[in-house]
Amino acid sequence: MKNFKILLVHELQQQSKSFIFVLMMAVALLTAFICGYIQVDDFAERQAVYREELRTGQAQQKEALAYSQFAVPVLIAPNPMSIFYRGVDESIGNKSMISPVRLPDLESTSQRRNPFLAMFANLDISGIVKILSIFVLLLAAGIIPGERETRIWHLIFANSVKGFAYYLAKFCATGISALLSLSVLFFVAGILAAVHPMVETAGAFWMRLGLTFLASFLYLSVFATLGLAVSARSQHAGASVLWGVLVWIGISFIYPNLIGTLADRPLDAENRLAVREIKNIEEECVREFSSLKKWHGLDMMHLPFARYFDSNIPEQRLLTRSEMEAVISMSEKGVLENELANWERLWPILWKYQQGIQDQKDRMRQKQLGQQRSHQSLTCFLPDMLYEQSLASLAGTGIEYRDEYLRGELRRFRGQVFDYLEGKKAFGEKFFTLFPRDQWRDSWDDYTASEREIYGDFEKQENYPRLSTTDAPVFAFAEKFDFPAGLPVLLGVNVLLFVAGLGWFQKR
Amino acid sequence: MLQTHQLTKRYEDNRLALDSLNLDIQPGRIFFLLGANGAGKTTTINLFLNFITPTLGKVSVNGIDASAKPLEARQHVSFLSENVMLYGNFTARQNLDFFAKLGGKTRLSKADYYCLLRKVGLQDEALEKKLKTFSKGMRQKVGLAIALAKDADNMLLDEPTSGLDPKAAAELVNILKEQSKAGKAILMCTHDIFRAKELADEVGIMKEGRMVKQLSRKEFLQEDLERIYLEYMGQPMNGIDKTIHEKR
Repeated sequence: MKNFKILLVHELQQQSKSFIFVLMMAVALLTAFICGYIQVDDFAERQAVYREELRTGQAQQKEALAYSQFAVPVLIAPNPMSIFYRGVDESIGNKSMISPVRLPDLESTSQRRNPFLAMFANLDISGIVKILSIFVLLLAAGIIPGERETRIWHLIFANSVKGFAYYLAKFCATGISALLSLSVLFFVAGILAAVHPMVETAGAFWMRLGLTFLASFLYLSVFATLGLAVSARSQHAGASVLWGVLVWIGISFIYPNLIGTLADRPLDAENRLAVREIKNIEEECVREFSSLKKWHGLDMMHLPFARYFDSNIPEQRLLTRSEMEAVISMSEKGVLENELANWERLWPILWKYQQGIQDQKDRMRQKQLGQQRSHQSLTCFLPDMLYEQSLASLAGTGIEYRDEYLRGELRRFRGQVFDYLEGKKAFGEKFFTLFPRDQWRDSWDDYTASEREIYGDFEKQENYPRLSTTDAPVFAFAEKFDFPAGLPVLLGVNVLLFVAGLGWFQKR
Repeated sequence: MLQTHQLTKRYEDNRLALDSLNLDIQPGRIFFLLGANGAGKTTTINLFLNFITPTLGKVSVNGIDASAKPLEARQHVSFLSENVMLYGNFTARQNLDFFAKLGGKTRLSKADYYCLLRKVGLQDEALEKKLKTFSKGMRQKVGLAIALAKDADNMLLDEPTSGLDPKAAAELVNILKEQSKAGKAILMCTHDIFRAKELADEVGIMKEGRMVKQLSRKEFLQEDLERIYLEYMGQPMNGIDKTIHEKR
């Protein structure tokens, strides 16, 4: 190994003078500024939207007139790590409302005003790293056959140079070149993120960023070992570079897309079945609701969920509160009692509907996730997949976290909201009025002037009392940190490719 | 000291590249291996450097088995190949610096490099020029400077005069004479009979992997080396076998 340092320094000098290296550095520098700026700017915008949504959600909760209007907003704060790896950050959704009348689902607050992001949604810093991988591969692929063709190889090995030292020096030099380009990329993007007032860079951010840098380096170093392995098997630099490009296209595009298409095919059929099943549940609930309307003439003026069913039965018009009083001469107390009775009849249907839809959605999601996992297991050895898996763990923007964890948490939050509502006896008359039942009178004239003042204008909602929500549960998603399992695997792939390449090199 | 004993190389395609070669080049001696293309000259050098392994026989450098201990053996060998390419993006001095360091000469100064490059006949203005601007002959001179910088006990030269102009070739002869006087064993593979007559202590003519004729300086000066060479090159292999047998 005594010549290792000489070989390494020389190879570094050699690579630094190569066109590919200069191009790689230029791409890293340029894209770091462009992409870094766009991603940081987009993050700041998402952060502003998040804060606005949070404020609006809290204000809406304070404005609730009855428990049917009660909703707890749950918002996922944008993660500054998404500047480096967006993953499925907002595409799956970052906002949800936990309420008794709606199933919690993730919605997206993204506005994505930047046209660049609209075109290249995933061109984040990790996307640039993936582009750099082709440069690293090309840098490594031509090294050994290039020296063979020019017979420099003979001059080198006419000295007491071990094959291992030579190969290791080539690998280390390519690794250092990759490291330099990565450093430029991460330094610029890191600085842009750190100086922006909307980006909070706490200690955990820097730790995650450091690990992201490490994962990016291990990812690029896979292409260095791959390029060297191809290089070790080739006689001519041109052929080696061509093989390198073909291997890169194969493992970065052709194979993952082929597997993705094959894996998604059965899922499409499953999705169609699940959507049909959901439709069946809806139709069954609508039938039950229609039958309730037919026999009980439901007036759902205070029940927002009823609107969902209304849209499915446009031919049937609901009686309004004033119509009830005017047409069928129901007393004020009678109207309220009627609403309570209707609510008690409707709630089991709504509950059944919600459970049915939820179960069906869960089944569909489990199948989707199962499919996702089978796709992952077929592509788990690919550097791109390992890299994405590592970054998703670090940035918290992977499908596992976003889909499984967040949706699971939403269901748990919903359970807590129902417990809270049951504690408040919200599933009785309080669901549609805060007017206490024991004070309901047969005639509007029986109410005192102050009661009329308070409860008389539900629709105008000016003096009507608001729910006390100060003790309402507040939810937040834990910032999840999974150990990036892809990291040791990437390291293993590096070692494997290095050993294979070295074996091929030593044979020749 | 460069030695081979019954050195044989048969390639994977069963082609016999070298057949029972015996060489003994003592310190201070210059041995010329003459022969047409494919005679086995470069194979012999490759075996000394362990770029290929022998099928049979022994090859040693300063008594060190070059097949068993190639790294140790290479420490004692300087090598100059035909058509030296080197690194085009580096200057002559930078190329020399790299290979000198690989050869174990880590303490040479810029002045030492310049001295070596001037010694092999490079002009001052070429010393810091990138090699991609060099002619074949100039690159060959840098290659020779690399071999000299290592300052090993033995020199293996494969067609070193290829691409050199007559003046540069004459300078090479002088350098090799100096090296020989300094006690280095030199094995030079070439087609250049005139250079052999001028410089060699011993000459071997190879044909199809076999040493068909070996002559001492005294012998080839008495006889016409060119005629002998052409005679052996023109003769079929079975005829050469007969001639060798008759002379024995």
